This record gives sequence, C-alpha cells and structure tokens, in this order.
Amino acid sequence: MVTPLVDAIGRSFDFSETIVAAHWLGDVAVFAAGDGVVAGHSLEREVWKREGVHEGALLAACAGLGDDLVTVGDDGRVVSVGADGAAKTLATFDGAWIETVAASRTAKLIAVSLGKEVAILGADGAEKHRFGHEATVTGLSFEPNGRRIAAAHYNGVTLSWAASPESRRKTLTWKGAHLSVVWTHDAKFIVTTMQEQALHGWRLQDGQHFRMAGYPAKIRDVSFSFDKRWLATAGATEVVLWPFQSATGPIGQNATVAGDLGSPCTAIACHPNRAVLVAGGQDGEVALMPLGGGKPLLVQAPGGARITVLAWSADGKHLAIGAEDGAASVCDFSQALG
Amino acid sequence: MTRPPCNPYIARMSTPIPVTVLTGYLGAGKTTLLNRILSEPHGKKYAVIVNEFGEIGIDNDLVVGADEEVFEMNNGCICCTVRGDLIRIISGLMKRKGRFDAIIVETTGLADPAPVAQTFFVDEDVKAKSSLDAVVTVVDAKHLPLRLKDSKEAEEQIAFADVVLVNKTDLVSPAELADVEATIRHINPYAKLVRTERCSVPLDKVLGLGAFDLERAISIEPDFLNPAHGEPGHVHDEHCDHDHDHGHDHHHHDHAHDHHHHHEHAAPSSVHDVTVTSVSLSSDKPLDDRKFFAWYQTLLAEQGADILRSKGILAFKDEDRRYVVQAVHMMADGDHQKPWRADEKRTSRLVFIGRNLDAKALEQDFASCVAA
Repeated sequence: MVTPLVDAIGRSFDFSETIVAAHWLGDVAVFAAGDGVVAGHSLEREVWKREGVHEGALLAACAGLGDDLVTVGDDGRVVSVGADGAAKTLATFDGAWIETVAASRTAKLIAVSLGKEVAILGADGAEKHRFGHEATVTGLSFEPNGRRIAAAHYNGVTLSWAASPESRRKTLTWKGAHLSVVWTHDAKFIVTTMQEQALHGWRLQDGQHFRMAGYPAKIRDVSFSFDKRWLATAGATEVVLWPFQSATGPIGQNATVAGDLGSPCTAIACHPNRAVLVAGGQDGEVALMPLGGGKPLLVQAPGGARITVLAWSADGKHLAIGAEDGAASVCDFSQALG
Repeated sequence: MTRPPCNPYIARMSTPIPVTVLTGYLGAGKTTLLNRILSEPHGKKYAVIVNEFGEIGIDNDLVVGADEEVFEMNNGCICCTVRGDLIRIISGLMKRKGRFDAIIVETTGLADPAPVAQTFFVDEDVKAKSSLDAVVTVVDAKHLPLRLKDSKEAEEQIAFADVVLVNKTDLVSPAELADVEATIRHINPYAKLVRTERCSVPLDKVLGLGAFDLERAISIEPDFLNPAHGEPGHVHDEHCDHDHDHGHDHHHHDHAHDHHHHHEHAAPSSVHDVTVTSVSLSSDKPLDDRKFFAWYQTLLAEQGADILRSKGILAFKDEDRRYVVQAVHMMADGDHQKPWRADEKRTSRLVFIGRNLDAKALEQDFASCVAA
C-alpha cells in the first residue's frame, strides 16, 4: 500500500464550495472558492480568510499585477486580494457576469470578459479600452510581452493590440467552440482548448494551424513544461504532452505520454524548474510524474471529488491542490524535490 | 492529514438539479407562466434563465439573462447544436453558495428547442450537475393554427414537448379547442396535454416531472409511451385490458388487437400545415440487443436530422431488466432499468416523432431486430 505524499508533507482543509483558483503569493497559497470565499494558507495554518469577496459566484481568478490575486464574478466586480488578505474592488461592471480574467505584469494591464466584449483595465482598475467580438469571450490570455491579448470564442481566437484594440485585429478561425487560450513563451504559437474535446493551434508567423484531438474528456487544463519544450494537457487518463521545441511545433509530430491516472486528468501543473509535473483527476487522485515517463508518485489518493486546481509556488517548493467539492491541500516539496 | 474517505459533499453534489425547458411561440403565455412560478409561495428556490440581458433577484429566486448562443459542434455530427451560453450559465450557477431547487430555461418564441435539449447530452459538466426534467411548451389555443401556418418552429416546439399547456382556452369555442388539441396530438401523441386559462396550472404539472429521467419515466407512468385510448399511436396492451377508467368504450372501438409487431402511426397528414408525424412500434417478442443497437444507431446517424425525438422501452432476449432509451435528434441516452415484473407482458415499444418518417421501413427494420 502506497502512502500518498500529502499525508507526509501536506496539510488538508475544506472550503464549502468549488475551488476555482489557487496562487502562491510568497509563502501563502491564496485559494479562491466559488461562493466568493478567498483564504490564505501557509504550510502550517490558515493565515486569513475573507468571505463575500463576490456576492454571487466567483467565476475565475488569476495572478494579479503585484502581490495579489485578481478575482472576477457574476456580480460584475473585479477584485484584487493581497497576500495579507486585503481585498480591493478594482472595477465594477453592473449586470455583467465576468467569466474570465487575464493579467500582464509586463504591460501592467488586466483584461476581463463582459460577454462578447473585453475590457482592458489599468493597474488601478481604470478602464482603458473596451472592444467587441463576434461571440462570447470564454478565454483570455496576454502575449508574454504584454502587447497583444488573445480572446477565445466560438469559431476562433481574436488577437488584439492591448494599447489600441480596434486597429489591426486579427481573427484566427476554426469552426467550433474555443474555450481557453494560451501562448507559447516565444509567442510563435497560440493553442486553444475546445468544447469538442480537442486542442487547436496556430503558428502565428504564417497562420498554419493544427488540430490535436482524440481526447475522451473535456480538456480543462494545459501547462507548459519548465523548459517550454512540451505542452502538457488534461482530458485523458494519460497525461498527453505535445512537442513545441521545433519551428513547426507539434505539426506532423506525435504526442508522448508522461504517465497515467486512474481517471481522466482534469488539472495539470508543470513544475517551474524541474522536469516533472503534477496531474489531478476526476476521482481526486493527484500524481507527480516525470516528463520523460517513469514511475509516478502518488500525491493524493483517489476517492475524492474532481481536482480543479493545481498550483506550484514560483520556486517550485510548494504545491496547492483544490477540488470541486471544496477540498484543498498545501504540500511542502522542498525535501522531496530538493 | 488527509481527508476522510467518506466525504459528505460528494453525495450532495451528485444530485443533479432538474432543468425545465419552457418553449412557446411569442404571446403564447410563457411570461405569464414564469411569473406564476416565481410568485407562488412554493418555498422553492429557482433560477430562471430568460432570453434577455441582465440579472434580477426576486426574493429567493434568480433571473438570469441569456443570449441564446447556439454552437454547432464541430464533431462530424451535422445536427449537433448546443447552447453555449447555457453551458456557461449552468456551470456558473453551480459555483454559487447554496443550491437551486430547479432551473427553468425560457427560450425565445422562435427558438428550435433541440440545441437546449442537446446541451444536456453533450457537455460533461452540464450532464453531471443538472438533468433535463421536461420540455414544456405553451400553446395559444386561439392562434395555434395561424402559427403553424407561418413557422416551422411552432410545430417543432410541440414535437419536442413532454407537456403541452393549451393556454387561453377561454378564448376559443369547444369545437375550436377540440381541433387544436387534435392538431397537437397529431404532431405529438406522447405529450401530456394540460388545458389552462392565463397559464393557471398547478406547478407540479410542469415542474419536477422527470420526463427525461429514464428511471422515473417508467416508474411513475408505466405506459408513458402509450397515448390514451382513441389517440393516434395508441397501442392496446395489458394496461388497457385492465384499466377502463378513462372512458374507453370497448363496444365501439374496432382496432385490431394485434400484439404481434404491432404498430400504429398517424395517417399521412390530414391536418393543414403540419409536417411532423409520429410512428409507434411495438413487439411482444424479445429483441436481439446487438441487432437493435446496430439498427437504431445507424438510423439516428442517417436520419437524426429528421427524427426530432425518439423514446423506447425494450425487452432484450436473456435480459430481465427493461432497457430504456431516448434521443434528441442524433443524441441518444439509454440504460438498463428495473426488472420486468413476473406478471408483466414484456412488450418492447419504440416511438419516433419527426419529419419524413417511413413507417413501413421502420416497422420492418424493427421487426428484424427480434431475437432468433
């Protein structure tokens, strides 16, 4: 019988609703739950807890521009929660359900979706631009240098210049519902996850595009490896890795598999500086897997709710785990990966 | 350190929230019904998704505006469309503190109900957290003939319905009402008809019906696929032999009691402006499951665009449990349910509602699924 690592190096606790996001601010993992509760946990204890950050549902969150987490919700508010638990409303859009948020520290900008529109906000929350799309925006991602923002929507992805969104916009089209979007570190490729249980990618230089399909379940998460050579993807019991090391990316290449979970993978996080990843599954299992294959280490045993969130600290020493039923853990990997 | 293996949240989360789809042509009375649902002292907490922007909280309830964003799924299935906005809204509602007792989705008067229904077959999250309870269609008794003349949606809304509320009955004569009901029956003999004035209807006639719940559908109403006596599509079986309560007069009916591959279907449309018909198939001989699935799946793949809905209860050879299946266009869902009772006749029934249905071919193909 294998003892899950979380028993030895972790601490577990419960929220009452789905964990939507987690992010490490220094030594504190900030967890955001669907009912608007946001709490900071160190390895040892709950450091602070803030209720009612959003009035209805907290729908999404991302790392903010400073030492903070930015949360959005169906109350139309954009809130910054600091490492000390101080919450500050950056902007309010009455009547809007804000379903996605992205931030660029380089450009010092935050982008939020308001149905078919995207609003670009400054660090203080002041609205700088607002621009429409052909369909509801379901995913947002800034180019690594902060100059462009990609918005995923039905039938494609639209790239807009954050400083002048109305000029020289470009829509990359592919039939179907695109749900989320990521850029490669060098901004050579854009990849979306789709309602159709596939990924779609474009090479920006020439618009060549490619389909990465064959997943049995919804692809809820993707993560680039520490060396940016691989895109690790959820959506199957096998953790599938697509190669992004060559100029053609995965075009004409086969995917490889890092390891298997007992149920479809629903959350994934590559370690920030080592060749390992953690993958979480539909049944609550979490496993640490070497990128090159090899024996996975059981972090959390199956038998729980779907893993919704996995987040490494910037130094890769700590891991935050969150699940659909509100179960959460923090783990100290400083020895295990030391 | 780790969580206990028995997590109380799991049981709670596994109870899906019932979703009622409310359709009906403009002016039929959907808004009146919604207002009634929201204002009655039922002690329940509802989320209502309407086709307008904005969000209003009414006491306990929540009214959410949607924009009816229909996605064609790029999965090789031509008629597979889903409501993208519904996926997002339902996923969002599930994150809120406290659960809703039910969700009601109102569609615009011109909407095809298929994308809403198919959303519950296609999206993992929606499927896991909510369940389609019933399609309720509100019909204006006075203006239905006119609606059928100028829109195919009015017809489809009836074809998809589990319940048809025949509203504004006070504005028509008994003869007009009989005509309207005959027309509805012609399009969809399997829906429950409820007559109302100003949508004054007990809420338990429209909410919490479990019409798409394979298990409940048969436990509540063993002959849910069998329209009442005298209605087109009625199959005479042991239920009618033992139950004469609904005014059925044996002396005057001349239907052949043919229990052998019995089928009846609506005659080629005698009703003006109606293109949707239904076909009902039945067999008293057990079916070969492999033959059946091969045929049914091919049929849905090839003719799913025309087949709006199909439902069936099937008796397979060497299987003591009944198999219950239902489909919206090409999206099918089926499962083995409770065993047949010892004293129960194992009659397989399958019904189709759609356009261009070839009753003869369906009957022959169904008959060829009988186990050797």
